[in-house]
Amino acid sequence: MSAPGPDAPTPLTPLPQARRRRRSPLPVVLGVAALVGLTATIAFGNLNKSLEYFVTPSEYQQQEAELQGRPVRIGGLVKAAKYDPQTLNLRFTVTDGSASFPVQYHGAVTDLFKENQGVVVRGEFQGETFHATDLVVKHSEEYNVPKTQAELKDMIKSAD
Amino acid sequence: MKRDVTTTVLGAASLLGLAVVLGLSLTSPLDVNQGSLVRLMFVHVPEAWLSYLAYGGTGLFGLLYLIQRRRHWDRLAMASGEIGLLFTLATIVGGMLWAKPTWGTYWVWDARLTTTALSLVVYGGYLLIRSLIDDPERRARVSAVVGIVGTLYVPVNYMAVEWWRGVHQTQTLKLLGGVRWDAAPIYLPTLLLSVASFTLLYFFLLRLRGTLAAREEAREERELTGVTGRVEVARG
Repeated sequence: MSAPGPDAPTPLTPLPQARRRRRSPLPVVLGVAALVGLTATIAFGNLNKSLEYFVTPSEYQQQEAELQGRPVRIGGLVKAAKYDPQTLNLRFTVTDGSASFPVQYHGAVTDLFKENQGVVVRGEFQGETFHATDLVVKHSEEYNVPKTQAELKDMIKSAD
Repeated sequence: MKRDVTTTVLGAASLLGLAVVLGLSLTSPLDVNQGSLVRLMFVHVPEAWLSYLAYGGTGLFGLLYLIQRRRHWDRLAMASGEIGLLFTLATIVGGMLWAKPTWGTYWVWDARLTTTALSLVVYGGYLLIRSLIDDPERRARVSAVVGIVGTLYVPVNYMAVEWWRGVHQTQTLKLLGGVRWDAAPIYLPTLLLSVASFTLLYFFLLRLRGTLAAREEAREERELTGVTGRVEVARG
């Protein structure tokens, strides 16, 4: 019972100067907002919730039952391309050698789009034809200077 | 205030290197498929390299801090993280400008691009955590751990084009499984010189930012001791 009760005045010891900097909370608030926004964009920006960006035509064929009627990305090589620069209508076949699908797309394509070029198309099947809403052209990591006069002439012509 | 000759020399050397790279890039022959766009490689690849180097630095300096407990390493880790973030942004912006005329879009959510965007969250978070902790020792300890774990980003991002299918092309200069250059030989010296110049630039920026951080810290200490001194005088 000799201990002082809770009401007993405790001796006041002077607190040392707090090592605190006065700072505006604005940068922290903005930083948190930016990080949350970026994380959300990354989390919801992925269409198929997978790190694999596209399926190949053969994979689509195998998984047709579950992928049917859903927007998908198919990646493969371009064959038999027919492009009308006036109407911007594009028809080609996307293939990986063993399976191939006819693709229809409306819009401008980059200069790299040509036969045997890798592409990724996003869209849906309507009947037998894949109606693409987006088209991304893949390109090789092998950069080369023109080796022949003919290649050089082609390049100059396409640059015009 | 003594003059820091090393920093000056590093700055001058990287500036000189970058000037030569600029000249070589603008006169390099055109690519058979993408024409002059191939020259963006001489900026894009070294920028990405610098960001890897800087993130690696954040991890390494963090580790050195945990071993030696010298504040010097913590300042360098912070400086390296900031540089990494800056050059990741530069890589992304430059890459987007390259993607639009070749791929046909500024952005795709493939593995390489998505993991690169994630590094902004990781290292943005790193700097944010630093700003939230007031005690310098604790700040250094916590952020060292974050910085070491964050280094995982570098191999994942580098291998993303091999591990997952995407749109981003694979490495032109292959390093794993035998060094191989898969492009016209004329492009290689320019790229290597550019990588070397960006490496010098990293060390220049690191020293510069590290010195700045040291001075900031010294000023802060001075102000704090100044304030407590005055309070004691007032108390008498």
